Amino acid sequence: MTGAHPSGGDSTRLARTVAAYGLIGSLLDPPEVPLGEREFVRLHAAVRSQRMTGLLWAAITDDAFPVTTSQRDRALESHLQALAVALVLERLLVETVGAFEAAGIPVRALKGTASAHLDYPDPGMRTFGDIDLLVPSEAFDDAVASLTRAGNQRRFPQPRPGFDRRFSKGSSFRTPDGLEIDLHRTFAMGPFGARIPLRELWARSETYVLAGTPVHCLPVEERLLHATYHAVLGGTTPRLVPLRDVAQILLTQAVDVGRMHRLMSASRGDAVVARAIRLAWHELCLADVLALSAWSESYREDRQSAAELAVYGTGTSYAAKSFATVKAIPSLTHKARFAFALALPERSYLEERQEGRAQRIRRGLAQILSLRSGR
Amino acid sequence: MTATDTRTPRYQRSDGVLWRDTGQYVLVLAPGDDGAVTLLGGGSAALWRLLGRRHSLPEIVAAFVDHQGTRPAEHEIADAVADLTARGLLRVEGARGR
Repeated sequence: MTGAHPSGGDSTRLARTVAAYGLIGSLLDPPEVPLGEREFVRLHAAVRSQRMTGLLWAAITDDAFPVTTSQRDRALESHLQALAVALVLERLLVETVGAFEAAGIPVRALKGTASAHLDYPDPGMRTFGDIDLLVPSEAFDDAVASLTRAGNQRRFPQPRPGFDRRFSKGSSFRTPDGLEIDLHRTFAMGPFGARIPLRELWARSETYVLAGTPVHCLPVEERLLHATYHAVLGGTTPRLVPLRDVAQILLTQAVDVGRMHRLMSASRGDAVVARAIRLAWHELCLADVLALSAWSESYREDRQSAAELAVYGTGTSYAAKSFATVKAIPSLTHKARFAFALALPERSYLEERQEGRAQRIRRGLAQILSLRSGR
Repeated sequence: MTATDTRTPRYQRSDGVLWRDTGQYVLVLAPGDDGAVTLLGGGSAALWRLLGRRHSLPEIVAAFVDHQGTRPAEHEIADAVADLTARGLLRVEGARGR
């Protein structure tokens, strides 16, 4: 194919079209003729940065997204690079899971690799840039020790010893080869992460096989719950792949709706799940109505949920999230420990942030006061 | 080939290999490879797809005829299989002395 689409197009809409490719019921139609060079370059950059090379390549090889020969070559090259990274990361995952299991540390693979193998028709459609592992709170310190013994470097110190295993979302590690391992204790920082009944996440699992090794991951309803938290709480602007994950699970997997509602209720995360499903349906222009998509459209956030969700939005600080977290921590002792650790962290934590203790306390108090006064 | 013919080598993908198929190329990462991902194209990629199940060399040749309408020379298939085996990508069953 050598012709090119002459008119300008909406690159954001095109990126959403790629994100929706292969989903039954999406009203986003690919272009009928190849994009012009400038449009394709913009789209290709968005596809690479949002890790959607597998979806674009699937659309191209299905003859659903017309491209020129040169565009096809570039799409293939970037996809091969993404897949090579995915394979190296999966080997790291197998080695890390093996080390954890040898040390008696229970572990679940999260997000990218698990979703690729269990939720997508071809794992190549879902690429990823790091590995995400969930461990129980009580095994968190052992998992950190195991990763450190293996030569991985923790990217940020914890405020005080024991903080991560009690309160944090998790911790991030860099391997000697520059790969990233995200070790999770819960699905998100802030109040929604603090309220997830973590023990229940370990009651069941699904398994997939990587390089002959069984890898445990969350059952489908918990995967959906995590996908919604990642989509809505993972960044200030929802990215397309997490929204695709939400839609992919809902449209292709047998989600037990009753069980999903029980999970949401136990986590008090209805507002997060509803917002994620609504966003996925809108961004990917999905026409099919499912029980959970209909529920998400009719769901109304109460004032507390709206305020808690706002904590994750643009312009809010770590202190604001921390203040909201304190309110969600159930025991007074733990509230005090959490606040103490953040108000008076260890020197290594401050040095990482190039901040003095007095400065930190002043800044934190100012942010908390402004939050309480609604300014 | 009969069920009792256990001395004829039969080949299958090694369980320890991580791989992805783009439809045009297959990327493989064998255990022990120091981060080196191998790209298989053309006949090697077709061979990889075929070896999701155990096959002997004559069976591979016959499958190529069935699936691709071409009859490759058995020595070419043998070379390609030997190459993949040497890279640790295939396991061999029924070979003499194994």
